[in-house]
Amino acid sequence: MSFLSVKFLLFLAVLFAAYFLLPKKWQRGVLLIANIVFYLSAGVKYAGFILVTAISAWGIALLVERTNEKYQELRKNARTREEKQAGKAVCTRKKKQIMIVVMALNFGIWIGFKYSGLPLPLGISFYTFIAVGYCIDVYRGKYTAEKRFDRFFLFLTFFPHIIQGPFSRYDKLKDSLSTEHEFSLDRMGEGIVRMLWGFFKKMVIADRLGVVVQNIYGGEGSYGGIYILVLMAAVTLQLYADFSGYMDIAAGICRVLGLELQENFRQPLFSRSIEEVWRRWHITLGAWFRDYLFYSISMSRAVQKLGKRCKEKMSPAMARMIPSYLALAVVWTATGFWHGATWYYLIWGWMNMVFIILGMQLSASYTKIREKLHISDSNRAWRLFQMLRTFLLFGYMEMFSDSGSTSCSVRLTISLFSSNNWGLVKHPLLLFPGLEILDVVIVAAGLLLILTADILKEKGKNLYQVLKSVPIVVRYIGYAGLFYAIILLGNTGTDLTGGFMYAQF
Amino acid sequence: MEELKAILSEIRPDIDFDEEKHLIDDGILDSFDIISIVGEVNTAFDVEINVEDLLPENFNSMQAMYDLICKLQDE
Repeated sequence: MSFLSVKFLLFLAVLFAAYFLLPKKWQRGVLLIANIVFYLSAGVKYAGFILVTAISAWGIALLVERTNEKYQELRKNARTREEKQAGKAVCTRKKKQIMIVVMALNFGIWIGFKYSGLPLPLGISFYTFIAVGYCIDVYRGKYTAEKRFDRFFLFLTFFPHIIQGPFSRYDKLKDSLSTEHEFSLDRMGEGIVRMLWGFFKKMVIADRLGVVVQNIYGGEGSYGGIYILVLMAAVTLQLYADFSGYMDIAAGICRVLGLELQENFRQPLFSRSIEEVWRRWHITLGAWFRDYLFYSISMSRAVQKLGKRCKEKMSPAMARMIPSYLALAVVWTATGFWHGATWYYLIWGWMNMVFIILGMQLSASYTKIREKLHISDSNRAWRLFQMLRTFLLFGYMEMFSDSGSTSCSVRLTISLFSSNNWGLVKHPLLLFPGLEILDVVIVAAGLLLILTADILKEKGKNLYQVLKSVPIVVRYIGYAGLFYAIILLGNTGTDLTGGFMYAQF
Repeated sequence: MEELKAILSEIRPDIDFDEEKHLIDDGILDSFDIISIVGEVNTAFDVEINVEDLLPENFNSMQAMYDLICKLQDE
């Protein structure tokens, strides 16, 4: 069921009505049925796999917890430090064995589907990682395992996060999922406005930018120079409007229901380095790899030992970073691999890694240069320069993951420098192949709206509260404008995922 | 505590570790700083900080880190 279909809107209307009109104690049941209906609407054929993941993760987490409890008992009864340590070692070994089973099973299924060319079960790249993350959290004792399968299944199959994230954490969603929620007109208004905003970003802006991007990719070398610069900007803005648009729709649905979905974007266009981008863009993916892979590798005994050995051969500051850099190499290889087992995704991952490390290693030199030039770190022009540089660099890397082949990206890179068409900058309306002048104006106006919203959010403002402070007539004219813009100017997706870019993973 | 302060100040000389009480919650320390701190602390205090110990409450202040070290030395 596409998020961009009338069927989905009807589904939401029935869900909202049942959720608030039936007795409140049934809300979890209503939501669980909605999840199942949503999931099965994609096809019954592969639905068994999410059940396997849910049962295995739920059961293994309970087993791990039982082992944790046994260790606590042992610890209480131990008389000496050696006894405590021996008990801990036995329990840790047992927990590790259990975890290997759940990881091998679930990652095995995921890898089997992802890299065999078979059609993917809906949301497998997301629910597999959410389920494994849950088991690791219980393993680490971050929170206790869920005893009731229906509650865990409700969390895992939660339809707003199943298609393309966020990678929800159980402890963040559990409380709002287990509370009964009163109907609130204000919350419903806020949720619906956020959904409209998401539909607008996806259907009016992202899909138009997609036309420009595809035209330049498909131009068979006829576009170079300034058009590649346009491509680098368009590909980032398209992905941002598309992906954050989806997140706005999902978060808006949750707001109506009284649930809190984790945010996945925090004004990424204002990032001043690639490292900062990944703290603001697809936040929950970065957090997953940081918490479950980066820390596990960089804090492992072997890597820590290596760090110590490096101290004898290099500066202490550099040696300290070795465990982090090693872990970063694994994390970015895995992140590339998560997107797909192709060279261009791996190259994209490694490029991110190189620019993050370079940024960190060179930051002291940048500071020195800046100070020599008497530019303060808070200088607006300096910050703007850093943002623009990061934006284009990020766009260049996105081009590698988005163009469909490494050779195409290399060809586009060469044509950036080989074409001499920079004079076209005087005719900006001609720089967007495939778009009519009216479309360019619509995209520009839409991007200006996104930028304004992001500036307000960056200043700590709640957008809905800002809107509420606007005179009611103006506000409702704005809402109506947004609604009609979607109806009159928006594209509608007809496939399963509604054409959202990240749903393909 | 002084030894810990020396380690922290060497890694992040720009932070006043006596004053800051929300090093993780406020995003003052990042994951790279944490790994550097863990490596140095493990060697200096002969403890083994595990991934399980990477909770904000254990790294939000110098005192919290010191308490974690004492707890691990006790185990």
